[in-house]
Amino acid sequence: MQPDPSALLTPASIAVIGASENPRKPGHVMVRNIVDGGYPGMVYPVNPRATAIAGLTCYPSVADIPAQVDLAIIVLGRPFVADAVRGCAQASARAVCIVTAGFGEGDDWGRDAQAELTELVTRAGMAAIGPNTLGLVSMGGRLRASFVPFEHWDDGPVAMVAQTGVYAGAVIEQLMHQPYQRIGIHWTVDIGNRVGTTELELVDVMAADDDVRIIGLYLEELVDARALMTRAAEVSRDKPIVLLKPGRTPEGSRASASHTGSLATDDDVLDQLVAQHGIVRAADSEEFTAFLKAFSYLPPTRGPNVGVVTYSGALGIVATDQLIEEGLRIPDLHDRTLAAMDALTPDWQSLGNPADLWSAAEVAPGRTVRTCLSAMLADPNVDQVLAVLLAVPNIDFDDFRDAFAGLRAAYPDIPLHVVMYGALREKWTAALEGLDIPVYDTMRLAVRSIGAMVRHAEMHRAAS
Amino acid sequence: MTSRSELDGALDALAAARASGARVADEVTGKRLVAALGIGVPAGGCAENPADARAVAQAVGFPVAVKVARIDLPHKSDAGAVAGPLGSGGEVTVAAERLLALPLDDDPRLLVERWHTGGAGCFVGLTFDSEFGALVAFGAGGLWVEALRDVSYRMAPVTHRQAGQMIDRLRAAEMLRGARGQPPVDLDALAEVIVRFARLAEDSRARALLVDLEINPLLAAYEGPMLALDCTAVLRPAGGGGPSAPS
Repeated sequence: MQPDPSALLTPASIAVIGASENPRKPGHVMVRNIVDGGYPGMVYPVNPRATAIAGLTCYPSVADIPAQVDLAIIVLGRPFVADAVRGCAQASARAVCIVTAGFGEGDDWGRDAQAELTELVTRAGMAAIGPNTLGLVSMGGRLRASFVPFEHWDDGPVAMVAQTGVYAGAVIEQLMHQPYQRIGIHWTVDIGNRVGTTELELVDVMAADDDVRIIGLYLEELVDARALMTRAAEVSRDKPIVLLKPGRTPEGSRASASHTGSLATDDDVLDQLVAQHGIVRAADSEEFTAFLKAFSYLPPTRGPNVGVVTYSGALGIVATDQLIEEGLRIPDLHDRTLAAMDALTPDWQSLGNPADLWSAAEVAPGRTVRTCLSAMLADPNVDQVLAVLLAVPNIDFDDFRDAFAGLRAAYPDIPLHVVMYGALREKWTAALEGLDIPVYDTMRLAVRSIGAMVRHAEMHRAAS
Repeated sequence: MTSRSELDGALDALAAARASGARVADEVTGKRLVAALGIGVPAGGCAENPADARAVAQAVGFPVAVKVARIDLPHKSDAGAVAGPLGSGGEVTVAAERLLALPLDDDPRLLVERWHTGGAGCFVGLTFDSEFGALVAFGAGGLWVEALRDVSYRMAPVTHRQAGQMIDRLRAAEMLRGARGQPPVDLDALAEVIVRFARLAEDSRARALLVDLEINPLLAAYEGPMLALDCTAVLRPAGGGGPSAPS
């Protein structure tokens, strides 16, 4: 039987093996999270020493469940996991999620036991994640199968494969808890120690899922990297792929009597190969989430020319340095753009790109946003706009949100990125909520995100 | 440009070297493989005594290089096992006597080759990576590749256009195009060397025999063909060990 990874995401029924009556144990939290998450199918807790858990009838074993089990989630002590997987295979479960840790990442016993698990799930043709997984969240399946209690979750265009356990879970939880600037995630799977389902199979699911527009891969190691690259080159054309992958370490087993052998362990290799296959690589988890946000919120960019609007000449210079270093261009502005801005600035000021609009904003902040940002977005020389705002009280204005909503509506095809400094930063960020305007924590993240969008566009132009 | 029988013969020689327990093929065997791929190598031949070395030198024309051909000596210039440029028969005799006095174990062969200059030092490598499969590397700097770290990588196979991109993205591309009074290199011909070299990755016998293969230096000549001045073929240990060859 060929494993079907979609059985993980949209199972018709779920057994939780190792479900617990103790509300503090992961075996209880898992059942709770699935039920509270609004999962519409049947949930069968399995525990020979309990009759009911979280209000659900409990069964002594998977074999005792009177109906078909689609997905089995295993939350047992590690000596009992292999037998449970065998039971799932006999019950014809289509997928297993092994939460239990202490296998390949642990001692010799764990490594041997993991090899056995690999064999069991392969032979049974089950889709499998774990061991050592946080589980998964699937909005399509209305399923929150994780012991992390993701209380708030936004659906959206991103699908993500993670292989970094608790860390990735914490990053996502933090992301979902922030009051503004969240990223909607349609589904995410932690593949854990990878005994069955691979990132490559899940990329195939992402490619076929119409609700997924953007792909995030958060991986500690690449398995079958060649096949993944080949597939990514096809998929990333329509669906940007953002990869966070720590550097390669020299492989001890490699014979390196030649220069080629020793050079190939260089992280530069991975950088070049992923770029050749249309993948955008993030350097850290801050970049990873910033890139996903930019791709989620914004239309694709048509080129590398960035128009910069700033309320501070000094920040304009910083932005220029970073944009140039990122390989982007700061074009001359069209005469129309300069004329529109000129009308709002004092005679002594000559405007260019970056356009320093402090003196205009001091006099008429609302008109400055409407007229100057609008002119910048309309400029035929400009592909993307970076607004570097000073969020200070004397230039606050009442219809701040409306002004930006108007800009987004008038120029839906031009990406607009925002960085803010000042006491009103949170107030203004809140005002922009829901307008699909990314506000970045730092100038560097804004610049790197602009660069990521350009690299994605250029990689696919070069390949076609 | 190349024939199946030449390639088979070169791979047979590699297989024999591996069967004898060698970890690295000798330069003569390696160059035979490179030549079978349709990549230029300097005119030359083997000699086991100074008189023969002189005869080979006279046949290929001066100046020449004289090198120890011994297996397992990949970094010959570091080991003092290369002499050249040698402009006369007398110089060849002196150099051959010196090299033959080195501890050469049971392989006393010297390789006598025409000495070539007039080009930029580059390198091209092929490695069979456990994650990415066959990877092609191209870099500038020849012997200084590790210090300069100006290297392009791609998964094989490599098209002519992709090989051109591998050259173009190097910092050294400007130098290869001819700058500051240096003549330009024929980048089209250089790209063709990369393509031919990468084609070896498609050969299942080569994948089974080699861990990696490298031409270094590759002389990106200002005139005439690109030339493999030296090459190193790292052999996969017989009977397993090391990363396995991807199918």
